[in-house]
Amino acid sequence: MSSLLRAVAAISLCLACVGAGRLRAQYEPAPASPFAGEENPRSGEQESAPEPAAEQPSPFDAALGFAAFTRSFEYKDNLSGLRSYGLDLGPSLALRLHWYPGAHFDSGAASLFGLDLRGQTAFAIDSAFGADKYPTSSNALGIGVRARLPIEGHELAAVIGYGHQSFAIDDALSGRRKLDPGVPSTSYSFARLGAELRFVFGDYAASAAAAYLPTFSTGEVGRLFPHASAAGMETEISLSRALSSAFELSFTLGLQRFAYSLKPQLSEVKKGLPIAGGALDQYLWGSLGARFFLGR
Amino acid sequence: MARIGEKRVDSRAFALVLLLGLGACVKPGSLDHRDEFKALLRGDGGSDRADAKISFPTDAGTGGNGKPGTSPATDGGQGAGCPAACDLIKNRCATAGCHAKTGAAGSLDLESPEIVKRLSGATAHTTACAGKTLLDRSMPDRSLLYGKLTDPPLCGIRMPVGIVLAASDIDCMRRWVASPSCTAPSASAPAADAGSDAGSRTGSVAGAGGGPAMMPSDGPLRIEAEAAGTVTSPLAAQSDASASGGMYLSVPTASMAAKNDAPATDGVASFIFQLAKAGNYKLWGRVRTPTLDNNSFWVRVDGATWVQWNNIAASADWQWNAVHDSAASEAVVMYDLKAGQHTLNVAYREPGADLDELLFTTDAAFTPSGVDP
Repeated sequence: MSSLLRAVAAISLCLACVGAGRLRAQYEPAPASPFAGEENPRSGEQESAPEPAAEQPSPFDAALGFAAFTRSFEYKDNLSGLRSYGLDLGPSLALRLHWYPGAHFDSGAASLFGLDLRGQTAFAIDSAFGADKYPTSSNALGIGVRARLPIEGHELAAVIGYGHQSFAIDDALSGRRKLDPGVPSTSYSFARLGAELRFVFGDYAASAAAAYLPTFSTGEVGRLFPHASAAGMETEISLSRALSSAFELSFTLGLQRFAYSLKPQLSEVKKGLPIAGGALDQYLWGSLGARFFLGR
Repeated sequence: MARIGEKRVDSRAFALVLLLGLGACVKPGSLDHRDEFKALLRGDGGSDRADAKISFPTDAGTGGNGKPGTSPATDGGQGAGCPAACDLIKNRCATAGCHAKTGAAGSLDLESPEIVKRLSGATAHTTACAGKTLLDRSMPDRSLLYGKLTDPPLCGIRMPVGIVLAASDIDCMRRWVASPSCTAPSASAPAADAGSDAGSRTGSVAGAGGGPAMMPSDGPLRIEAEAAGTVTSPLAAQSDASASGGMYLSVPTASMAAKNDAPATDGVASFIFQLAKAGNYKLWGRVRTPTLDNNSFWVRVDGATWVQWNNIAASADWQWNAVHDSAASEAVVMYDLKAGQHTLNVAYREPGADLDELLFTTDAAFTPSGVDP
């Protein structure tokens, strides 16, 4: 994990160094021509067509998406018959903000670093077993810092941040009695170490993102498996079409998974704790959203 | 293809390597010591069908957009859903005067063989629970074998009468109901735990869920902390080879705040014990209090005012300390108790303070030492 952290930090530093030089090349005014105000002494020679000015990166962009997602939670080597869980399809709203404060004032290195804020909340979901319905909620929040490197209109970015994500299945009420769903609620706290690529082709753009999520806490799974550890990853691919210079529509597919190593102990099993080797908590989603770029 | 300076970076290769690397990092773990776990599940006389339990049948939920999947339903090894459940039933339910074969309360016999076969789909005979299913593996929450253990119970009064099961045991029973099997009596049954020291000088309760600790007539009463009848979160049993019985009670979360006010219901362990004779009792605890920020508990007997047992000397090792009242100049507390049944509550005051054993004695000069004084 530490090596991955160092790698992401190195990428960020590299982006800063390389990007500073490139931005100067892209955004600084061209040197005054020694022939300014004069007739072009090379008239008659064919001039190469002027390249279009590279678009200055936006200091702020916000994306709001409507997503449909599925979730599955399954155990591996499940000797105790623990319940698996599946959510067929649930709706959610996702918001993502990127803000580069330095880009308001400078087009150099300061414009490369920013904040990464993201949140997601599901709605109208519940879980059922037999006739009993269990209130269910799912939320995610993330905050981080990001570094970007514009490359001829494309962009490479690295993100380091912290995230919290929960999927809670509450007890159902039957009269005055509570029914336990028998499925652990999860509450993940994790770091996000990620990289993103965005390619722009005229009005269209394609993006890919991946992140490793070293996980610090998992929620109720730890009650059943006190020695459990977990790690996560997420990937996204996205296609976008610009509606104007400031707006674009995008379609995104994503996958996130948290894998557990549950490490049950024989001594604890004798006292009633369950037996399973591992577990996989997996989310798949597709979203349709709009993204706004300030200053374009 | 993108360029960074003079270096060409194949972005597709970069993305592929990143994804493959992540995939390799994020895989669920496997079960180590699988054979030992399977042997534990089988118990003596159990059949070797544990592999049949490693499956995920089609989810059976209806309505809603999410559903818990069903548990594997097998008749494999003993206590398939939870290996300790059969022993719990044997020791806490199928006892004389309760649900033993002879004179079973409510005509519910939990002692005779083939318990799963006899109870699956059968209904209760009592008025309070008439018509309710005793054992339905597809609906453990609606099954009386689990539903009578919860607070509040599914119907009637909560079981077992007297000392309710610890939360972990109730959870164990729920998993057992979802995947029930008791193929043979277990040699590892903790029945002997409660009386394992009966012949020694001290009485003791060593197994979780044991009956009331009995005070022998000629010595102190020793109680294992993890044998509490109930333990409420965040207090929980922890394992440590240096603790008596390998277990102790603690609130391990270092980030949890100290409970400076007398506790309500959370973080409380409750013990019911029997005294053979009345007397003025001193209560000792075998504790581990690593720093001055992790060195206190709340204690009370028979619902009296909570005593702040604080300022225990910091020690990384287990030590015996007499319960004293830090709100009364650290005066050692003496409990004037009658013969008969009493209730002891110990609650966490600071996280990280560990409790291994408790000991009542009328001998004011007696100072316990070691694991089994």
